[in-house]
Amino acid sequence: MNPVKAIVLCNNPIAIPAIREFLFLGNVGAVVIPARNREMEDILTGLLQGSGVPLLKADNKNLQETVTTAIEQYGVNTGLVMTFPYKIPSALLTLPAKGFLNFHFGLLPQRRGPQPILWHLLKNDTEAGVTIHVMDNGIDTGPIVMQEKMPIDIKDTYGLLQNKLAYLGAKLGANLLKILNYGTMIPSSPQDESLAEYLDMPTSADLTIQWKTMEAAQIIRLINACNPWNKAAGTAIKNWFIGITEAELAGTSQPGEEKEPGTILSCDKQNGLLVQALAGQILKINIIYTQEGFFSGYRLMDFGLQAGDTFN
Amino acid sequence: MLQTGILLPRSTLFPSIGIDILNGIRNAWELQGVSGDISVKLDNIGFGIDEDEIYRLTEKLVLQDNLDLVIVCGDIRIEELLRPLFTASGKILLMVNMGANTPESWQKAPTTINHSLNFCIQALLTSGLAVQDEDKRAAYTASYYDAGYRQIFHMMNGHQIQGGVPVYTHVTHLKNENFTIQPLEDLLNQDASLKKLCCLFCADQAQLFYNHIRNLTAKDRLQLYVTPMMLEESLLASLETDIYPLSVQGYIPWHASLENESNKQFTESMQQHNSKAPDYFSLLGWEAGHITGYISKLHKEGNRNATALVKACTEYTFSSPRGWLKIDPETHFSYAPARLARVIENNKLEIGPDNNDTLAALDVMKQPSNSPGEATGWRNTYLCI
Repeated sequence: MNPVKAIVLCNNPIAIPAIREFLFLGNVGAVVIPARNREMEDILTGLLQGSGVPLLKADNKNLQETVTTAIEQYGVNTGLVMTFPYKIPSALLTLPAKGFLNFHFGLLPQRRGPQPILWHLLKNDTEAGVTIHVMDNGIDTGPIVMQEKMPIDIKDTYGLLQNKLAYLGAKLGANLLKILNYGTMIPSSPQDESLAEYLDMPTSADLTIQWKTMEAAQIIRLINACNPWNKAAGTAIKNWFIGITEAELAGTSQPGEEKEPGTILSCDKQNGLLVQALAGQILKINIIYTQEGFFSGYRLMDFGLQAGDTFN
Repeated sequence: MLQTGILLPRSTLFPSIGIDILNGIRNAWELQGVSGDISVKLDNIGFGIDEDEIYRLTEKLVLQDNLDLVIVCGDIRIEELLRPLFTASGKILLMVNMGANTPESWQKAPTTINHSLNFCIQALLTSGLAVQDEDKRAAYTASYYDAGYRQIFHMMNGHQIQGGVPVYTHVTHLKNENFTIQPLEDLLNQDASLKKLCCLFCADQAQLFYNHIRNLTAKDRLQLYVTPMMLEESLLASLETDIYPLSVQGYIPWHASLENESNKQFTESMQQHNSKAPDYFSLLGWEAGHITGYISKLHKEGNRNATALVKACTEYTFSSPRGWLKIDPETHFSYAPARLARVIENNKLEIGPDNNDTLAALDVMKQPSNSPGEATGWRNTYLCI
């Protein structure tokens, strides 16, 4: 048996539960983060303390050299990538004996690209998941080793979903290491290209509420998809651009009382900030974000807004 | 020719487990007339706890021996490990166990079938019986060994989702010499209105439990809702004295007295070929034999696609000594009717009505925990010890 000694390339706290699992199993040779990621540096410095596992920093220019050296120096035979901003050079992919495997925190082949969690939410998917695949020269295109789905809860924000997927990644990672340790080959299946979709970083339009066309549930999904990384989903009122951080369904309008979508129905402490959505549904805006800070929704009245004003 | 492999377990509590399962499989093939169409490679996976060994043996059967189908007698957690190997190679994995565990994820794999005797379903249904009158309160008791399976979660959940009120949980020590139900006895002495116990034991600790509970002063008021291995006939026959008139009941997967053609064939086949009364293990093998026999027939007709063969199994109702056997297309888990049984004189069983809606119980088990965020690391992945 040739036990796994992995070099882990990561850029986001979503990797931490898996790294903790790998450290426990004794399968980590080195960890690499981008040179200027202070958050990950702080977390990993503490996590790796006393483990004997070095924390290396690399930028796009010296990535190949850093990883090549580490593979030789620390006896690495496997590369594990978990959200890394730089493309792994082709020459590196075959350098470790067991190759490089990518933890994609989304379902492949449908949600290729750098922001799968966000797109799972924005596309109103009912399920998210983690896919581990062998890396090839494409982006998220290599054959799949394992994939596990999980339902997206109506209350899932980006942050909540990311946290759940982080632990799912750790669970799958533990099984992956067993397979790498026990097996003579890495079992994998090619992706079904007919289902493949590459989704790039979102534009500001993708993150802006369209009151006239989006259903209430879709608006809540968008708001949740922006929380916390984007602070809020964008919207405008009276040429003022603000964000909505949290909202919930608050019933439907009485027949004949339905207003134009986006119309403020109430903006006071007693009733909160209620906004008309499509199909008679009413949204209660709990938290808003402005340049001045985060506020309870009804505090828009402090900025002079009132019932009858309309988001557009 | 369908080329198969079988990885059989070993057990100290049930020494004949491997041979019983194998006999059940072979006898089912014989009955279906497919013995000549199936080749077999056998190996042993010990107590089923060495993941490394199981993976290596399975990988050899799949990659080196290029078999079409492998029957692995192991815990459901092993399936998660083996899943990529079978999915990638396009081979069929038939996991076989008693059904005392449920998976962390119910996501199906395209070429995997999980076959069991559905012990978790029966535990869920049995504890639900403890709320049939106005008294909803029950204490839970289990052996240390059995409490390492998710069967205990489904026993507790089955009681509580029906409105049951838990009052106490008691778990015994691992070693038999330390066995005691003193905490339970103290509770029953303090709480004179408590009469219902949901119980999860097997083998020697089930014997110990019955021997102790029969001697309690509270025994006359007790109602015991017990899991299938506590109603297993050889266990009941081994008890020194009668359990009755203590009230003991629970759902079981099967009983030798069930009157259906398949059970008659099963019983006669075991007697004829193996000179042995059928039991849970040979039943497990017999049903696995019927599933693989059906796959063999389709394979012989030219259907060589593992995904299509597994799908065909989900669309078929198998003949079974339990009455019928189906494979849930959503999860690829097998399920069959459950029977209510109660202990009567001479430690015999009286078989009551069927519960044919076991798919509904499976659906309940698939639901996420009612206590999100709670978890336990208490696991027992042994198939048996």
